[in-house]
Amino acid sequence: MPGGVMVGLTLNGTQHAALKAHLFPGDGLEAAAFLLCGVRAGDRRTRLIAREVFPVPYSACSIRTDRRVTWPTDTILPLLEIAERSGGTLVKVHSHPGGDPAFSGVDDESDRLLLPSLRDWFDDDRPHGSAVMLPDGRMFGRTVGADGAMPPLTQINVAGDDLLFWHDGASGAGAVPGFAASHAQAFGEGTFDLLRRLSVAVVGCSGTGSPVIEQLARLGVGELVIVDDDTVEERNLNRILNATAADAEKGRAKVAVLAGAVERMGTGTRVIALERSLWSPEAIEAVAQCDIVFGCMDTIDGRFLLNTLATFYQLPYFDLGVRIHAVPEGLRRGEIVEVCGSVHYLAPGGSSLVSRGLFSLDDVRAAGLARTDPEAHARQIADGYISGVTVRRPAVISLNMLIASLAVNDLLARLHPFRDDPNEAFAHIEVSLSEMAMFRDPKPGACPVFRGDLGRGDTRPLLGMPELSRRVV
Amino acid sequence: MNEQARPPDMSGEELADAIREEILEEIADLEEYAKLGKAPPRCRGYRFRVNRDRHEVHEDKPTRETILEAAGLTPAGDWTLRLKLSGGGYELIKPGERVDLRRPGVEKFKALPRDQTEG
Repeated sequence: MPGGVMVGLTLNGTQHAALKAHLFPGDGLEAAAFLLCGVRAGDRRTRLIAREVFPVPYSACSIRTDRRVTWPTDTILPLLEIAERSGGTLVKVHSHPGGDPAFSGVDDESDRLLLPSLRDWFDDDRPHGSAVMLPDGRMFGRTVGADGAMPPLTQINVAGDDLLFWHDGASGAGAVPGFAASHAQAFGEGTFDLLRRLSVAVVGCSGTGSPVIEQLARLGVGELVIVDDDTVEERNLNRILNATAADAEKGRAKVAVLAGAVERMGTGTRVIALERSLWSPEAIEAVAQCDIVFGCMDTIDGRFLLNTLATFYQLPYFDLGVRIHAVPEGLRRGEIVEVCGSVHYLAPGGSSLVSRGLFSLDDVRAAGLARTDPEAHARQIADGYISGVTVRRPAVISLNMLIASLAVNDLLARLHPFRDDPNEAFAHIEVSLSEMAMFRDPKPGACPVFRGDLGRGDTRPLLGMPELSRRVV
Repeated sequence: MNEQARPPDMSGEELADAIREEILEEIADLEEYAKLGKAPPRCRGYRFRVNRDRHEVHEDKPTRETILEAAGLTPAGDWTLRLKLSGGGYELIKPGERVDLRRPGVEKFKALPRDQTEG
């Protein structure tokens, strides 16, 4: 673990609920569980990502009181072996039924014994941790480093239908700056403080990506990681915010144009601009260090890749799409028959773009072939093996901004619930301007395609995809 | 009319007449009935809008797939289909689900492509 890098822990909503149910069985006594975690060992942050919850059975505990829980170490031996094989780490979690929001003397004693022994078992510098859950579900924790020190976990978050974040220490934002006074008033200083601490990735910086970036920066999000390998062209000027004719003339990178615009806004948002495709190890690693990701892409394989990344690293994923459907041929050629758009919210461990029926794995393969071997792709279309896909669809800024706005409002509602129904009722928000109607659908069941990859964190190659291997020079 | 309701002394021809009486119209336009707040009678066909255009089916409880096919929207898996009720409510129709077109208030259908993409 590099020194000075913040360490955080992420669970999904299902894991958090399972943990809470086990840790608070209703008898008022402490209980314990372990989280097997994947790791994103990043340059900005290290993220421990829960893969699985392993409760320590109540019957296995030799002591359970309202102040102490003790269990024989052999209970966790099988877990140590699993963690070792999978390259994972372990986080012990126990409850404070009385609601004490700090580690107790008993906890200190127990962690001083357990955490260094975990570190010694694995004999490497992967970080292990210890966390406490309070009766209202809040959590705090600490890790053990190579030097035996136990610094606090900087952040613990739950990526579920609601997005919960708990930070170590007091508010990091200080006073609310003038630019944010009115939205801090609407959503509360707590939410503004949270936005300030967030790291959000936006993948795709064109029609829907640029208005998402604009909104996030003006809301005061602390860090934006923006990813796009494309340059501004004249045909983009109809829809990329802050892009000018001079940018098109110079062929400036979209990410450079948008990073410059955010800097000039002066809202204090730090932008990490990656002028590369998501199909690169650097982009995957940078996005995987974020808390939340917006997918504003126009390719099926890119969206599948981002869905995979969001699963490996448990990132809440907002997928944006717009569609203007005109009759392609015949007497009514050119007539617009539909103007619509969607925001799909995908909580890790839940449904996916595939299980929601947006595209199939065959579509993903075909799109991958089009990207990596355009000639073979063209041959397969000609031979009728796969269907051709329109590459450039019509796009209009007025629709893009509506969908981008709905997506950012969906994020706000998940950080600071304000809707009449619980957030699980808004897994898919869809607008038809042809019908002038807005629809919302509740979350469907979990996706079997991604199940095995949940919370795996860093692997070699990244995401288990040979294409993301680092090239050896 | 079902078998139980058939009076014992009714001949086959009389029964056919009775059924014909019940079919008031050849084709029922669902939007018109929804505006009147009435349930459409049993008809030979039912006309309804899917998005802008009108289409017909010849059964009173078609599946989601039959409705999409009638509107030329195939494969059905690429579309979401919602039923619009008079008064403004929408109901999502699941794959394989049958829709009772004679249910009062059924006004039209809204179909949208599942995948919407633009970068």
